[in-house]
Amino acid sequence: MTRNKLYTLLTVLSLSGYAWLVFQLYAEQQNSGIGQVCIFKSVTNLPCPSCGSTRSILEIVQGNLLAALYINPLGFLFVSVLLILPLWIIADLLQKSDSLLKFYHHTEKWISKKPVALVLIVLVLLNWGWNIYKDL
Amino acid sequence: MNSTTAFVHKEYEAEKASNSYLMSLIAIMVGLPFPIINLLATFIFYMAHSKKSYFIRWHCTQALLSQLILFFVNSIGFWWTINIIYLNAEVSSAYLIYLACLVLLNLIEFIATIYAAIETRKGKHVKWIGLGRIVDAIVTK
Amino acid sequence: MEAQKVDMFIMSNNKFFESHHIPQIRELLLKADDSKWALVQTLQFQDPTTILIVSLLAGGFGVDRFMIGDTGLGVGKLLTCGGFGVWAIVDWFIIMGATKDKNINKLQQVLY
Repeated sequence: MTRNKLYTLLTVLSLSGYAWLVFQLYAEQQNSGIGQVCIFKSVTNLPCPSCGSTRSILEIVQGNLLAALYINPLGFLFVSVLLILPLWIIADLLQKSDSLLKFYHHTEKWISKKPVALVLIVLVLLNWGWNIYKDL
Repeated sequence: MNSTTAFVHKEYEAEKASNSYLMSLIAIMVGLPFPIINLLATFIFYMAHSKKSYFIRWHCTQALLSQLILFFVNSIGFWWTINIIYLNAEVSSAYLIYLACLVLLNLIEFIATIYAAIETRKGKHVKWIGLGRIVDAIVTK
Repeated sequence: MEAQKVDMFIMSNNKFFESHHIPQIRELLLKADDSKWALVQTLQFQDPTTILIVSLLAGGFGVDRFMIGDTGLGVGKLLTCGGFGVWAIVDWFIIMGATKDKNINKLQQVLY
């Protein structure tokens, strides 16, 4: 993974994230969603591990933190990532540094460690189980 | 729509170059109403092959640019339609003409993409009229 | 290294690499020191076909990316539900090439 590739990828990801949120807010105002977008859910009828993130983020934006936590805790992760990433990328580009790339590699290594990976996998599975239980 | 010239290269290049066009076709199945889905699919493919040979990069870029043009045209049509459905804007004749052009352009692009996917798979260097020149200028050897 | 050993290695491992990389790998191995042979033999390569099947079945959760060592991309795919499904589908076409790239990188790291 090179610096440019990672930064372009992350920029595109966060931009599409913001575009999606703006679209959702707009659709909510008009009182009309486009319904289901998750392919996994349409195929299997079960929610995927990150189903409900959008609803969760929208609750956070409106200040209903508890409701957001109940829908999908991943919403908090997404909000912090969406807030921090663009600023970090811009700061890196202005200072011509690659601190984000270093951080990425560092995190990748940390996550790949067995105990950490195990805990994360269990967390994701638990959250997924809860999603299915809640029938999101 | 297309002009072809003979081009010598290896078998694996042909397959990857052809796949770049397939991306935009496959993504249609997933995100028909959303113009950005096709653009994203070709863009991810383009990013993944940014270090590959000239022939592959050339065709990834042509697929990406063609989707970029479609994205702008379709986005306008998409929001215009949303306005009409949800804000009860008036269905003017301008809208109908725009929609007809949009469908025609999409159809042309669809056929051209299928043609390009088949021909590049055979190893031919398919250059679209107009777009090919821009791609020539963008992609470095 | 002896040509016989190298040819044996290539015959049993050629499905892990791009066919146009094979001559390059052969030369690399021939030039390499004999002491590397044991190391090269212990290398674990990922089978592109297996990864493709994983990608088709569980690509939406990023399992394919985790398996070839792209942990960061794997997490990204998992959390975004396969990048709204688009990334997952594009990866069906990319993943075999990516796996082969990872394999040749592994080999090069040992040989240099």
